[in-house]
Amino acid sequence: MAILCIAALVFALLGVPLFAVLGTLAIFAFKINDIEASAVSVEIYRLASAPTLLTIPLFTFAGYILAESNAPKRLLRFSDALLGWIPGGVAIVGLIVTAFFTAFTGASGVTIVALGGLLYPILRDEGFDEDFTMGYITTSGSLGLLFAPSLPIILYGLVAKVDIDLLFKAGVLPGVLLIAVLAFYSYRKGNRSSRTKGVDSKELVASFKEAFFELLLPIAVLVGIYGGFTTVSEAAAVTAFYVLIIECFIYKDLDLFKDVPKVTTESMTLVGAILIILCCALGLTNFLIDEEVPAAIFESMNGVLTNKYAFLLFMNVFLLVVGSLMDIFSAIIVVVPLILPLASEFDIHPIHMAIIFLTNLEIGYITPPVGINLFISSIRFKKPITELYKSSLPFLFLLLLCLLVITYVPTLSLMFVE
Amino acid sequence: MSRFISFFDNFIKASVVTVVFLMLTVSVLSIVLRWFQVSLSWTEPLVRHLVFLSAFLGATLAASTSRHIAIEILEKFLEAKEEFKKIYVLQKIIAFVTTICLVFLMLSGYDFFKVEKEYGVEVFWGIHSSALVFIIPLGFGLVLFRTLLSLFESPVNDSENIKEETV
Repeated sequence: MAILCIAALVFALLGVPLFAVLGTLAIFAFKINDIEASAVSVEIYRLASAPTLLTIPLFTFAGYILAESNAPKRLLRFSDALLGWIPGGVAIVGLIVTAFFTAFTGASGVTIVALGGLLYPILRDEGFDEDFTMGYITTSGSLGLLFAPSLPIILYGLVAKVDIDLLFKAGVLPGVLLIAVLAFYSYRKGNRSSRTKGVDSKELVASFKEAFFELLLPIAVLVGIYGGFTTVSEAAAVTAFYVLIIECFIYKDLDLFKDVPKVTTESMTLVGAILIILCCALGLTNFLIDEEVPAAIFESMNGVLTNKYAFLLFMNVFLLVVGSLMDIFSAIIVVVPLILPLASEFDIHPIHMAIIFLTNLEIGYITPPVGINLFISSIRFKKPITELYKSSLPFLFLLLLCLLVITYVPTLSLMFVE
Repeated sequence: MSRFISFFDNFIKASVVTVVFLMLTVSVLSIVLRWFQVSLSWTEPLVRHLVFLSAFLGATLAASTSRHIAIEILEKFLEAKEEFKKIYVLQKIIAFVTTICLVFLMLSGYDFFKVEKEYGVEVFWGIHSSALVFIIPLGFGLVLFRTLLSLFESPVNDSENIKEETV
């Protein structure tokens, strides 16, 4: 078994898709224990019975449609008219819009690629220096993962068997905290002399009218889910349908027959990559739980981690490393089933644990040396990765401070839940 | 060879678009029908299995564009250094190992299908559960086939792909 694990680790580090590594490891692990290989497929098929499964393709589809349309431009225009007069207001606007997009697309790469190119010249024109701009774009690529209907939250709920509606509620305040801290930093860095005008009411009304149908979207989703009017799956179906109608027939940004099939295949490529790894990991994680591996880990840590706070600190460091090495989706699928029993032993609320987990991974995206946002920005803006390490450092430091608050003040996550 | 690959990819893309629009239509339809107090028992299992099928079709597309989730530290470092030949060799090794893994996964799915064929039941519209379970070996088979095609793709095409992806 040890040789098998080492081989799997080597293949994974080489870059073999994680679904293949995990699925095959599960098959051999079952075989060693005289269990038929078909047991892995039995576990895979269990996914087809998950009632919230539909939310993953439909919210992703809606997010991709929005990203491909002119929605980012319209939302930026409106937010700029609303908040642009504040020193650093453009950067604050950008934080809100990127958070909105990340919540819908769930994949940070999409946000950086779709909005980064749009925000870069605007921020530079507003007098923000190169370092701030690059650090800002790299960081904002994962901001918003704690807001509904973020894909990582849904996935976490599926894997951890935690109520997704409650997770959506729990993510609100920690998500706002992260944005507020970065907004304050942007305000401090903002060029106070570059904007002397106040609110242009004509521009505000015009941009509001232009973005009206898109501005309704987050309100409708949040009211629908939080107000108990729709289930998460129904909200996903309605959102996808609504976005398709407004972008194809009202704004006419996308052609139903030319553009939509392309966007559909793009979004389903991501969905396929996530769901296939979820399928293959199910077998392995259930095997590990049957073999009481989490309990063994807990036993081995018992002498070292003596209390809840020491465990949380260890979790933060461990998850930051995981987040900087692994994609958020695979990290959720692989790591969550192993740490949940440990968290429960230390009496940590499962919803609080979820928010700590997701915040860590959100920060892991910009953690050197291999946070994925750093690579995406490096490729998108043709900047050396070392330059991005430097640019992202102040943002990383601020987010780590927020992480400590989120970790050690459970009320922040549990206020709307309990 | 490249024409066949292109045909196969287009077939998968057309299938995935059809499946997504079908699941969206059925989902919205079931919500609308509920407003009129009409509930159809088959919509929910149908949609769930369409999502399940779309997962495998999407995974096949991910195989064709090398976008499966993986720890890509090595490849990213090689990309940053513009070592395209080494990336090419690495990608072939990865495709080879993935192919072998997929054979095991497909066989596991087929074994489950055989068991289900013997002991399964009808689920909806008279469809036997084994037919729905068959999505697993079929899906892994499609991903396997596309990964095999990547393994034999010509170096010229591959290098171009690598450069395009890097840009």
